[in-house]
Amino acid sequence: MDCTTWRECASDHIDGTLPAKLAREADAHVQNCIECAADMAGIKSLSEDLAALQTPDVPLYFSDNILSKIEAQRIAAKEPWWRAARLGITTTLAGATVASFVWMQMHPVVDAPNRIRAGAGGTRRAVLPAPVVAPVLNTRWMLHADAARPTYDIELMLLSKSAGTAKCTISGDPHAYRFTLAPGVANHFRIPISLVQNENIATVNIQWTSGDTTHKRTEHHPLSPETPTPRRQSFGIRDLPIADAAREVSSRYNIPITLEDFPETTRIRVSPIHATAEEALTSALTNTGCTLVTTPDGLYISGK
Amino acid sequence: MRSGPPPDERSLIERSCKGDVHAYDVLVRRYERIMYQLAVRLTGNTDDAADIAQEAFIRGWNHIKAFRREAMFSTWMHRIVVNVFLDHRKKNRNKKHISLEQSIDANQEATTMDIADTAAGPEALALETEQQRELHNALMDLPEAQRTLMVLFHIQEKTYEELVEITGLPLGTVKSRLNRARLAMRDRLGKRNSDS
Repeated sequence: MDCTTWRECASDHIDGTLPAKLAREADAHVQNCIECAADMAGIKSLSEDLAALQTPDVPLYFSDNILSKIEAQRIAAKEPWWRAARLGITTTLAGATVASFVWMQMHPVVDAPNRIRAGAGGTRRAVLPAPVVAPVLNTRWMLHADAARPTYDIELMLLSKSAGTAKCTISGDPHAYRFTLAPGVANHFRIPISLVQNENIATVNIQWTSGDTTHKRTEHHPLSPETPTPRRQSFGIRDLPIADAAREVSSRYNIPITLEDFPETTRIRVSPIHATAEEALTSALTNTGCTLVTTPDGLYISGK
Repeated sequence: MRSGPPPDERSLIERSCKGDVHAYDVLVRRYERIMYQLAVRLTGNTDDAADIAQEAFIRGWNHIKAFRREAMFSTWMHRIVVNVFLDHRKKNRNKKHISLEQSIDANQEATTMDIADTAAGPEALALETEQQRELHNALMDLPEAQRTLMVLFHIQEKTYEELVEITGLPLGTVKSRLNRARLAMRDRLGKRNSDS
């Protein structure tokens, strides 16, 4: 056997799958050929060397990401019209926000001392769309939690034909803040807040009126929205009013949750087993008459 | 003789076929590490590997009903990861440049050129020793078809029978390509060692 022939059957020789006669010839060749003997030893050690190559761990939330993509795919397959409608609403609201911002730049309001321009120096932001028909209160919050005196910059935009009013209370703050809302424009306000120690959620209650209708909204905002939490969790919460249970879920999953016109006295039990926040709340809200919608900025629960 | 997946896995596959995403989640968690490692070794970088492994699992979910019950789920997933990897390479080929160190193996049935990857290099894999870096580079220098066989056989410890099932190639082709791959790696590593 020569070197070329040995190389052609090197794997079979090393793996021991050569016919007996050829194997004897290959053995004899390797014993007399230094180069092929070195190749044989090198190939034999490849397995061990390759197996010893270190491989990094699976990225964090790898399987969670797969599952969420599959879920998104399933939702898209089931509700393409709904997604299209949501996209349309989001686009419309974004357009309205831009238009109102431009309008505010051109016509600054000077007669309301508590109104300020939002945005500068903001450290946290929560955008909570209102996917229902007008009148709609669109809110945008920018939390300055790291400042010496924490504040909320608020943008309230009333999508309605007539003016309205809003009353806001924030967890940990005994004061109630009242605002007059011009329709169709962004109304900006700044509220000092008192963050409760060891709390990772700020809760804002808003009662707003437009025309002859009054609405109640509760918004739970994570104070550190970028802090990662497991997408799937298992826990049990005893029967709590819907808003309190939602706050607990918001805190555990670190996601914003907005509730609007929900039955305040109804109690729910949240006891997910390896479930996402959406799954946990969807299950808990069964038979309450509330609906839950997942938006790009959090969960939205509506009692209507 | 294959007996198919173990009973608990068979149940998970059956439930997945019926649309139970939680059952599929268990399968994903069971095999995520193996499939991610396969993808890392095929691509040579962690970013592409995560994308490929995730896409493979999603493709697995979309085609779970086509899974043959007598096969092993892991073998089936290996095949999907390899296919996704090859698809990605085809798509990205125009975006990459050809390495100056390209080699054309005259012994190949189909001539294959090495494509230098402009994405994250071996440093992204935190290879600790010079020997490991050389080994990684030699593996990445191989044409994709050969690299796939080397990774499956030597790192994932698949049998020839499984290689046939995963790649869809005849046994003779698998053996000859693997032989060439081993010799090519040996030659490159040997040459580098003698150069240094």
